[in-house]
Amino acid sequence: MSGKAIIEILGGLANVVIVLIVAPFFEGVLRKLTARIQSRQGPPLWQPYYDLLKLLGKEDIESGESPPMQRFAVYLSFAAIMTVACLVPFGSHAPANGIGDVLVLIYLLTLCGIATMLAGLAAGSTYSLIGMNREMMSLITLEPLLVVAMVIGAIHVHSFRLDQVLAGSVYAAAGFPWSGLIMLGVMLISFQAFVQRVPFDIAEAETEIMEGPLMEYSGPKLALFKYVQMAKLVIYSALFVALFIPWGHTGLYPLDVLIHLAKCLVMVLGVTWVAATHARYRMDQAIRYYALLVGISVIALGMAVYGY
Amino acid sequence: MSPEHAMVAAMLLCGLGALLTGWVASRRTLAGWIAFGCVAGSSLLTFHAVARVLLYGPGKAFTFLTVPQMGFALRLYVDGLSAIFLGLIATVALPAALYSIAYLDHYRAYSVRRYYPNFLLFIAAMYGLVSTTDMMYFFFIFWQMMTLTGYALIRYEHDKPENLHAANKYLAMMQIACAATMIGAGMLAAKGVTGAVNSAHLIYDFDTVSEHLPLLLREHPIQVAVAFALFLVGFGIKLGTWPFGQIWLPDAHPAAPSPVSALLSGVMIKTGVYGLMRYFLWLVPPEAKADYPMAMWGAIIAVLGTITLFVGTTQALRQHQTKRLLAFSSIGQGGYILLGLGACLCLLASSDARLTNLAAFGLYGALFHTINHGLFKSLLFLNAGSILHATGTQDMNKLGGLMKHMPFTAITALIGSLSIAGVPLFNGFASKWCIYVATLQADGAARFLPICAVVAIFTSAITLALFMKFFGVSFLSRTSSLVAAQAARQPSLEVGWMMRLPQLVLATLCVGLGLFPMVALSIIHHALQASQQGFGTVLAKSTPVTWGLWRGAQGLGGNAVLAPVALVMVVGLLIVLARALTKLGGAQRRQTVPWLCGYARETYQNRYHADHFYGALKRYFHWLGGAPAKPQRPAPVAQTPSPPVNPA
Amino acid sequence: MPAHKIIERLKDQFGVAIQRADLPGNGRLFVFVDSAALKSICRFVFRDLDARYVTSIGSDDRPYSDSFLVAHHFAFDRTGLLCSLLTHLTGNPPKVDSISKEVPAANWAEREFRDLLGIEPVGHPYPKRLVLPDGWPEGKHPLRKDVAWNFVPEGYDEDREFAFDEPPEGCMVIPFGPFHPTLDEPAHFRLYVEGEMVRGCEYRGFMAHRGIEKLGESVLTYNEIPMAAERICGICGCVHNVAYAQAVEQAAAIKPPPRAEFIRTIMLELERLHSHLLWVGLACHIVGFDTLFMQSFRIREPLMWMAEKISGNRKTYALCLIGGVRWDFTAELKAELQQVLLKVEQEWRAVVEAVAGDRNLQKRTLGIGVTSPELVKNVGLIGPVARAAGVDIDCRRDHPYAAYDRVEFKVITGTGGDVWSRLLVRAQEVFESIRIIRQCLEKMPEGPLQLQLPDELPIGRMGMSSVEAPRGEAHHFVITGENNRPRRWRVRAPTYQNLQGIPAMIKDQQLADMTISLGSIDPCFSCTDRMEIVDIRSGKTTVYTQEELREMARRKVL
Repeated sequence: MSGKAIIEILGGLANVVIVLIVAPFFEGVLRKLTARIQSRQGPPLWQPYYDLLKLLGKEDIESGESPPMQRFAVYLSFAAIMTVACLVPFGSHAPANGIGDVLVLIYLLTLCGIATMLAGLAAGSTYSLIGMNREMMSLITLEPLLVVAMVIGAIHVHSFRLDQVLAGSVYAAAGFPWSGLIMLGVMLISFQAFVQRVPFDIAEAETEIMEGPLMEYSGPKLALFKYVQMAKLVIYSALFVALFIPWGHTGLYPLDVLIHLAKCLVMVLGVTWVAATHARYRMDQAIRYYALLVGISVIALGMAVYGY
Repeated sequence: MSPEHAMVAAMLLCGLGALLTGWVASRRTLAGWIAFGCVAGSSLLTFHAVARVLLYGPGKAFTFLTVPQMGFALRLYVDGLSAIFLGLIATVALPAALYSIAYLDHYRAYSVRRYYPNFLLFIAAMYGLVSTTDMMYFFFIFWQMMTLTGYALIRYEHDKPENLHAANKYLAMMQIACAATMIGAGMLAAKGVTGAVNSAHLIYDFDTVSEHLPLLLREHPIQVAVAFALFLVGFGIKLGTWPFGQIWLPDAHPAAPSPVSALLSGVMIKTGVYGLMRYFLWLVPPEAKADYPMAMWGAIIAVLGTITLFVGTTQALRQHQTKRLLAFSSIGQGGYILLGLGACLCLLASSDARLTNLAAFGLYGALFHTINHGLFKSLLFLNAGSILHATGTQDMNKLGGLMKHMPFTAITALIGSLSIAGVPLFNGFASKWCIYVATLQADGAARFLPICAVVAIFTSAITLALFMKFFGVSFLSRTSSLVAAQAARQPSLEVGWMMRLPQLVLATLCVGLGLFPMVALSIIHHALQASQQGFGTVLAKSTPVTWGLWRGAQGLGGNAVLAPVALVMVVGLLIVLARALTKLGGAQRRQTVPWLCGYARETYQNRYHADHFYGALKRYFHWLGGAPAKPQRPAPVAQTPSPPVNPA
Repeated sequence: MPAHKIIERLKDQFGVAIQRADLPGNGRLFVFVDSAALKSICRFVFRDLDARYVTSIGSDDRPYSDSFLVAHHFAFDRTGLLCSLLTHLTGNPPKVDSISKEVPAANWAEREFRDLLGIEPVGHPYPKRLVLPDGWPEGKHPLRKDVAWNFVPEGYDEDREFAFDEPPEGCMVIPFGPFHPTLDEPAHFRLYVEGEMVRGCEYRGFMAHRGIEKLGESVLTYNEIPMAAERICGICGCVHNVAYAQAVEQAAAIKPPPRAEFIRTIMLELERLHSHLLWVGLACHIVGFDTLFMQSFRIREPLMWMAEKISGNRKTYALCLIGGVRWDFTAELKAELQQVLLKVEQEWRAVVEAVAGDRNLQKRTLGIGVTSPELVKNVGLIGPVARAAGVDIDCRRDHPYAAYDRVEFKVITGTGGDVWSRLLVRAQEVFESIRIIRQCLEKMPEGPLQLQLPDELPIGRMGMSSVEAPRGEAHHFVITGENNRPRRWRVRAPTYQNLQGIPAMIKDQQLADMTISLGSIDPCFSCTDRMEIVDIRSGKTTVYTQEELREMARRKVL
């Protein structure tokens, strides 16, 4: 095994560890800040860690027709999002270039959604299926945004390599980076939807369909799903930061990790603020909203092709 | 034995089988085994031919039969391109033949005399079609042989008027396609030219036409353009391209018995791909590039492909009949292949080395996707057949919870679904990856290709939605009343081993090619090396993609990476970690029923219908048409012939 | 139209079918009619005289007149008249022509007396069980006089399932409730859904029916009933408390002292304030806007503390007795209440201003759960639901009680008839309530709190009272009786009518809008702040104060 491979493996491992450690903390910050906005005291910052630990020991109720599928869906969900963690840069450049490029990354993110949907389908409850439907519809309409953002980068740098694309490549146009700036705007106003928080937590809408696909899950399975949700917040933030806010590297790995995480935290604060000041949209309203953004992003793609 | 001889032998074997099975048709199982034996034999011969071509390069074209006065010759030539399609036909025909034996129990009311002979001749015709060099007579003969036997197979269940209607539409469309292609060939006929192969006045022979084409292009560009347009229409109809495919394909594929649907969708429509590739890339010599409006044809095909993939897939979203859904999705998947081919043509128009490399990448993608679609779509049709066999319905509204009753079929169907949806680690992703890489980095005259690619990526999410519905509704969700009734009638709903084995083989191939795309890529590489004619020579020179076990496939000089083996290790390890995490707290497991807000007990009325899926999204695609099949006659349980108790 | 004119027109139209008309002269009219003509008379009153349907009441009058009694109540809001059309039924089993086809709003009330009294509404369009539990055997009617209050019939089958209707073709069934995050009270909706579109629903409720009416008729006494009445609802308990007291006072022709009337008014408005604030919060929670949920609860909290200071309880104020109230307002309380009102008004104004321009909130509420004035009329919708649809009705103004005739206030109406209009109506009503309370505090005269009552109230008199609860008109009907308790006491809470409008409101809407449509008629919520903690080991009982509890909650000591 070559030295390069070992570095890739270690880098990926480091990312997984970072995400596993940091994700509940970010969630804690989100909850605390939400509480503050709502004039509440809020739970302690490490409450999410306790929640996860507690859930791991709770009774594991399986209500679907095919429990093995329910289990598999949970494992797959966790595995998919952590694989994505291996591919996304945290501080230094993207570590595990050897296992895929940005196209693989995009489809791995989809895989994470697939796992949630399989979970909903396997649970079989009517509410789960409604939730799964909504999840799928938002995935269909949201995915193109992320795809265009990454593809614009890939077109600018003539490469799909993670370490080249996930390094502010959207601004690497030959001319003035119009496309990158447009996508920055588009991704900013759709970011909430990627991390599935209010006003776009439609698939899980607690007051309508009672957590949708996750409704039938409890105990350790719910713990993992919750962990995945928290990880999604960190990973999508990291992805956004890597694509659009690449500046401020010092070259010192631990310091870079901290800087990167600090940028992610800013994203989380933004998510919290938006979530606390909005009502949940309806599915059809969300689809129209995404469709508009998809239209804009296709224009951006057109500009990118011509070097802007 | 030379590849060409092997192919003639294979066809003769199929013909012999047709006679034999027709003779012993009263003994259904025996006829089935004879048919399977013939298919196995012919497949072995085909594999031999394919292996020879790929390993040692193509032999010489072989003329079996000549009628010199008419320019009439059975001249066969198996090069790399043909080899890929022949291999695919043989690979899919084998499981389909085995599957047929048990599956036809489903059709006790119909004689197998109209099934096996047609089935065998159908396969033979496809073998002939992709290996003949005659663009006129033998093309006609093989095409008609394929069309007529296909017609008989589609109307096999002739008691249902909708099947007759579907078969008639199929027949009409195929005749139009045949006519278009032949008129096109006639316009390119090498009249008055004598060349190396033309001593026998084979003016419609591929090689002759190819030789004559530069002259024709220079002197009659319009005539050639019309001919190529006719080819596009003819083969487009066959492939099911928008807007032609919607006319016949969604009706014909579901009407046929499932193994035949698998063949129709998996391989027969691929002969259209073969024709397009052969005529648009291999027919034109690279010297004539200046006169050949390659970029234009590429753009047309790519845009047509993009429209096809989008329209076909979104139309499939509206279906609730298993096989009809699969048929529409076949149209959509054909679009991906067209996109790859169009990108190749477009990019090849420029002489830039980087773009030529991308062009080759596009063709790799198109060919790879052809293979993949052949595998996973046949698999999915066999899955749908197993469902039909077990429950007697294609209507997904009436299905649910089958995973508990037929776990084997469920897992293979999941593999098929994930493959077609383009999930990493499965074969569909690998080929789509090739197409995306080629199209997204397109430059120069092909700057529209990235937009097409984004549409394709968007559509692949819709494909995912489609197959989450197909798989989820049929196998997960909640047990439907129909499934419960069927399960109560027999010890197990799972199909017997003769139907499971074909599904297993195809599923294994899907996973195998997904994890080791280098196998397929290297086959395609060898195939292109063995097809040195027309632009094939240009394509053979470029090596767009390199591969290795751990580093996977790498394109664009390492700028595009897909390493499934490494990826599967990571995902696998993380799944183990996830499992360990869930065990950590020592949580007890308990089984119960879903929560329904605590008052009403669950009934079949609580099931989420297949019809209701993606309502908010489907509303926006109504203008695309593609109405779902009308509801079937009521009470399917009572009316379908009772499925036999499984042998297993 | 004045009462005597109504009687005249009825007599013109129906002649001898109008047997007797009592006009006690306090905005009430009791007309005894022939049972055969009841249906056409009701149609005449409802359609031609354009009266508003209030409720229908069945009563077992056999011990007194050897017959069953059915009363249909209508309101003439413009003339301030509540009218009762009564008829005696002598058959066995008793039968009466159903008016539900003419007056769709009577659907539930007729089914209710069918269940509880066994009076058959002949020709009812949907004669399905409404109130009795699923396992209750047919033919047993708990509200009849010969049935004991604690009667449990033989053959009561707890496991029996309710026979639901078949869903329409192509629809699946989504159960909603009784346990659902947005439902605060148990009720079951069986939604017929096509994809995400709701095509219809079936309702199964009355899961927490406690038989309070039966208790009042057989166990409790006149002055015990107000405390039971208050427990009918966790959020507008005071409304039922006052409405009951007023109904008895009406029947017995008692007028409580003015100071008591002002105190009743203040407490009713205080209740409306906290109820509306709670509703806005809940509605926001339903559409996922938790920040406003929390903020409106924060704004509401001082009102709850104030209520506790005044009455000793955050809720269930135990305010009324027949002929007066139980406690007084001190000068300090008045001053403090003024302070609280000022603060609530300021904070609420800020919220209303923020919400009024909120596009995001409008997206989820504009055009959702729409009711037309026709629907309001037909189904008898009331309160903010009716006012939001532009139907200008308010019992405080139309049928004044307590001190409402001595204060000025505006009746807020909307135009859209949708959830957004209901939100605006309720938001504005908060300011009107504050205005009313301020006027009351200013105008409240000195004087006694309670009348000296005679030993026995007159027997066989009828009284009815409509009180404008936060959610609409609460209607109480009382027939006075022997043994110091009413012979018949009927309560019709506002949700009883408003819930019947839900199927029309949610039809052909998205599932996501169903919860807010349902929520927009105002759900009920019970909240308790103080806990009593019994240490099992020592048996010691500790009562924590509000401050201690708050501290403990924040520090998580418990």
